[in-house]
Amino acid sequence: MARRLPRTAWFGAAVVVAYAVLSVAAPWLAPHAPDEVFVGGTFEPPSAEFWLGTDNLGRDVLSRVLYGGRTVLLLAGSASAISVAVGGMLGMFLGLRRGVVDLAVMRLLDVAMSVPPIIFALLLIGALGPSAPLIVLVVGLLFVPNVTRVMRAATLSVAGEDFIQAARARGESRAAIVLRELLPNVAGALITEVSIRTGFAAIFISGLGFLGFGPPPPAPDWGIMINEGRSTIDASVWPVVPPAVCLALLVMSLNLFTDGVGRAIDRTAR
Amino acid sequence: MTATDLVRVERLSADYRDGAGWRPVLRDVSLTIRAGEVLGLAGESGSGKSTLAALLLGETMPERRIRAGHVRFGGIDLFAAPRDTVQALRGRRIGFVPQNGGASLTPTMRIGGLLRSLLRHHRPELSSRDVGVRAERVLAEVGIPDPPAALRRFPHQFSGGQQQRIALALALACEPDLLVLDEPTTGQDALIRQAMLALLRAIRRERHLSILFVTHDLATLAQLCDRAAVMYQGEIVETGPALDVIERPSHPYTRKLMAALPRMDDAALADRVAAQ
Amino acid sequence: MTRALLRLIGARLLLSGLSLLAVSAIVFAVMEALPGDTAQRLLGRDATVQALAVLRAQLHLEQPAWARYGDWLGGVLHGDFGTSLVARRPVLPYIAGHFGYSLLLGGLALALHIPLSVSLGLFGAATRRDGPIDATISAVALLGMSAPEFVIGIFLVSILATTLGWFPPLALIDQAHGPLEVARTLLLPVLTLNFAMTAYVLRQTRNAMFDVLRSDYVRLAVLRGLPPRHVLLRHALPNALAPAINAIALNAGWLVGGIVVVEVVFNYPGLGRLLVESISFHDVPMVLGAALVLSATYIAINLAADVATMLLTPKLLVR
Repeated sequence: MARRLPRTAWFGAAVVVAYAVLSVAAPWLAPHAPDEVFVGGTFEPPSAEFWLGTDNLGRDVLSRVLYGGRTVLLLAGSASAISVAVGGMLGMFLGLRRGVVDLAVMRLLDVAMSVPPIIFALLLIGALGPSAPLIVLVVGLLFVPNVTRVMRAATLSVAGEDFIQAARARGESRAAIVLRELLPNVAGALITEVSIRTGFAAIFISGLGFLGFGPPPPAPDWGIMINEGRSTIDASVWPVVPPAVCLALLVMSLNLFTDGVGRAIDRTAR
Repeated sequence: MTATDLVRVERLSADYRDGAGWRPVLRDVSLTIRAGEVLGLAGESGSGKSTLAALLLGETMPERRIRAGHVRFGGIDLFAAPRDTVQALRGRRIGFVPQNGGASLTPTMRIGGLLRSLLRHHRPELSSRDVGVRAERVLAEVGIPDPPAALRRFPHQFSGGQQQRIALALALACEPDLLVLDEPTTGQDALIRQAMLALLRAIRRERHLSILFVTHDLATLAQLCDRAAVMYQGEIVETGPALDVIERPSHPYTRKLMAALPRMDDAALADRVAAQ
Repeated sequence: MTRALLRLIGARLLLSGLSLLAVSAIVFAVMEALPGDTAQRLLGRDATVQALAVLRAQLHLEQPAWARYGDWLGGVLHGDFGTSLVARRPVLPYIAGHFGYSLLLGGLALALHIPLSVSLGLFGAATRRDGPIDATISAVALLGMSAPEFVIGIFLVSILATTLGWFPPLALIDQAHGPLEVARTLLLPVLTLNFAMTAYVLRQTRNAMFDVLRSDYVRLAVLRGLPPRHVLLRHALPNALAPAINAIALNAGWLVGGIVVVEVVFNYPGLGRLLVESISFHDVPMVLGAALVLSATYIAINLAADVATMLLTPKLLVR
């Protein structure tokens, strides 16, 4: 399957990996600390010392963007991991089990999906106070119904009745069925979901940051940076543009990768 | 090359685009179909017979090109004439029945809608009452029960066999001179195939049209076709009277093919031979 | 419409009603019934004893949670959404007014979105697959889908409003008079929403149309001699529309959430912005009311989407 990935997908994957590398290396790459204030140097344009200029409090934009990348990837990645882990297991379990349990859980999920996600997140975070772990948990759980649906559908299309019975006839336990027979076949859907959810989570979490419900300061979340910079966008575009571009580029790369994987799966299925 | 040749395929070569390059699918194919004659086209999968059938309607697609040769219907070169001329022939003077009849019926249209739009387009001089009468009549001709009710139904409400008959009805509705059938009974059980065969023989008797029948069913070749042509890897390896090709094939491939085809209806075959 | 279809719709209606009830319970639980001291939680650690006492009295926190929920729900069913803790006025008129504005913005956004994305999708399908036009449209759509709404909104504002001065940077609709001014005020937020939504429907439409154009029935319609325009309109289009409408419906659902962010960016007096502000001010009755109305809208849109899909599928209409 890897051979059939279009070039754009490789490009997307490469960009995401680059982001990951830069984020991990942020403490070494960033010229300054992200919350270090340089008195008297607000809204400086890019210079040799501040490659991307400074923001409204005189902090180095470049360092904040680099550390912000860490925040985004960490939070979005964790949220995505939670939703895919929980949703994936639940979906595969339902796809194999079927019957009453399946129907009941799907109805419950339908109800759970009746609350617009942003509203639910705002309510919970507003009531319990913004903190990074809470945000990750809330966003992760919000996506569980969607991931469950997708993984259940994938499981259903792969595992017909005969498939399960044949495995049982061989005396395999349910866990073994999942691990050895099912996973390789739904791997494509799983990978796609990870990619999609990470992109959605990145947008969602920065949206929360933008609205003021993001991780508490001084975490340099890109959404928060954009919000802080937008009222003073006339004074300087530099606090706003780099985080915005980085965010858009990250999500776009994830989308390109997702597209490519989706197309490759289509072709192998045909 | 007589005056009553309805169809003339002259040294036709065609290619398919696959991946990077063009792969030949028809090599220097020539055949003729006379008015009122039934020609059977036999061969294994991939021999190019379906492509040839589609080209008899002048079908073009970006993945396929004519490298050389001509297809003439009633003297008109289908790939040199203006598109309008060719479009006017399709459905009106040449009817096509595909392999999967059900899939050829638009799911969101009622049968009546499909038939009527066809008739109205090709025979604009007909009154709407005439159109309705003809629609019902052609459905009855192919054996669909209760035509007025059938016209109001959607494709999915019919069985597979009935859908195939409806596709046949659509091909016959405007009274064509040539009927092209692309393996219409492949994959269906023997009973359905026999019924379809009987239907086609009746149609042939009533309507005096020419038929090109792409098939690999021996019974069809024996019971319906006057002449037979055998294709192998894009070439025609043998043509001749149907019974000759079946009983006394000259080309080694034909011999293998005839030996391999299921001889399900030997009784009918024997009858035909005896009647000669 | 067959009885079977009516029964299907009835079942969905029932399910939607139950969902709404469940949502009301969830929303209430989050705001007022989570474990721990609610008043303390809502006002934070630095709240004065005074403020805590006032909030406790206003929220009737001495009563058990389910009783409070029953009271609130009963009130809602009678049209009484309680009193705002901040404005000290009934909640319902506030919500109604702001909801109207959100409907206006959302409605306009959809009114542009549907024809725009469907026609772009169809147009993209008409050109060669992965050809230059197709690729360009896809790329722009991808960008719209990837950049968050608030980013798009901010950029549109800074370029079209602040720099070029063509449009006002804030959607101060209260001060707009006449349809032309309203249109000018709302154009940027409507564009922002469309940027985010178009990609999805565009792709679904384009892919559906590709499949349909390659289908047996379209091929045969051509081989039966039917004219190209007729084939496109009567044979191809209706079959490509079902997935397109499904996608539009999903977008409409997304809109309920996406509009919240856009209203904040443009300072638009809609229900989304009201919700965000109320949460920040811990105005519990207002939050409950706004969340409930928004959820009800979301559920209604999803229901409409399901019904529309059912109506478009002949297999479900007639057995």
